[in-house]
Amino acid sequence: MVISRSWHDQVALFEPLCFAGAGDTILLLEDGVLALQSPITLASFLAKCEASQVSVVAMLDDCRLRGIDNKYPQIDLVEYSAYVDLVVAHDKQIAW
Amino acid sequence: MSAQKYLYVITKAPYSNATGIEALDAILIGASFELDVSVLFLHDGVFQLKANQNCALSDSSLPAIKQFTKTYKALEDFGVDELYVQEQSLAARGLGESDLLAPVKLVNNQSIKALIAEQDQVFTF
Amino acid sequence: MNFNILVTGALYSSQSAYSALRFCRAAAAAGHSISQVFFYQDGVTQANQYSLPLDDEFDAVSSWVEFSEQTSTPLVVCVSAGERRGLMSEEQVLENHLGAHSAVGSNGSLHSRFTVAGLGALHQASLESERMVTFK
Repeated sequence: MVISRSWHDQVALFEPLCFAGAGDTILLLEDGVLALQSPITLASFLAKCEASQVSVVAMLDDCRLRGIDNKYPQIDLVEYSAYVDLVVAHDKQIAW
Repeated sequence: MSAQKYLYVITKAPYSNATGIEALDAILIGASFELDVSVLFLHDGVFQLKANQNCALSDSSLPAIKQFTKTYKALEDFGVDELYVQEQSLAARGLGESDLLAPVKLVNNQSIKALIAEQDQVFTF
Repeated sequence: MNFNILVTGALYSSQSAYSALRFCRAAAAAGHSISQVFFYQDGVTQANQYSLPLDDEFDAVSSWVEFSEQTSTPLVVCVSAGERRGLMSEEQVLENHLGAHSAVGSNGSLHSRFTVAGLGALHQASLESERMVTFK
């Protein structure tokens, strides 16, 4: 057996939230939408987002592609036209 | 108008990938634009700054891997204002400030949030 | 609004080209302009004219070319990131004396719709445009 990946996991979902502030939006894109399949951690993530006034949206087609249903009323599924509008509405986009 | 603020975030360790080398290229260009440039090391990115990296291989018949991380020491001379390191990334890897090859500023998540908020542009590597 | 797009994900191995293209098309459809699409790191591989996906697969290179032709959007490849990965125009192949000895042949591997520039072009465009959007 060979291990060539780092031992240290990246906390992909929670970390951007630590750096996000009121009015920011977190878009789950590509494999980001897999977060919708983590019932235990996603609930606390969404609670923290709500508390810090950060909204969460997920790319509709990336969910569809992967056969993932959105069971969370707090998460809006968006299309690319909405992604464009989000970029216009916020002063910068950061890809984590 | 004051100089625009550009932040370059490095999240990956060196050598297994070209991320550090190509981040450094971008940082040096940013600094040449007279921008207000700073760099933030997160996660395994803190290993970019680990002291005592040794590129001398046990097999001297092969060319050594380029020790590009020396450039981090010189960033100050190129006008890069600050190297920030996330405190918890360093601690989680059993490292302290004295294990690093250059002087840095340790920051917690609250400071990183403020740092990111004041940037005009953020590049992530 | 004016967007500067940065693409860093590899051709075929990542969804980067697909996501970036969908975004660019949506932005153009909404009346926004794209000052350039800049390819850096592994993203430079999205300019390889010799890419040959299967018939039923997404053809990133052709899709970029088509988008660029329809919208007059410049497609810019980082020169050093490209050369390190064998992505070169015919001119670069000759300049570097690679010629017939090169895996890419003397034609160059870079699709002619793409141009090469330094990282200065990325920074210049990010200063001049209103938003930078990155696709990894």
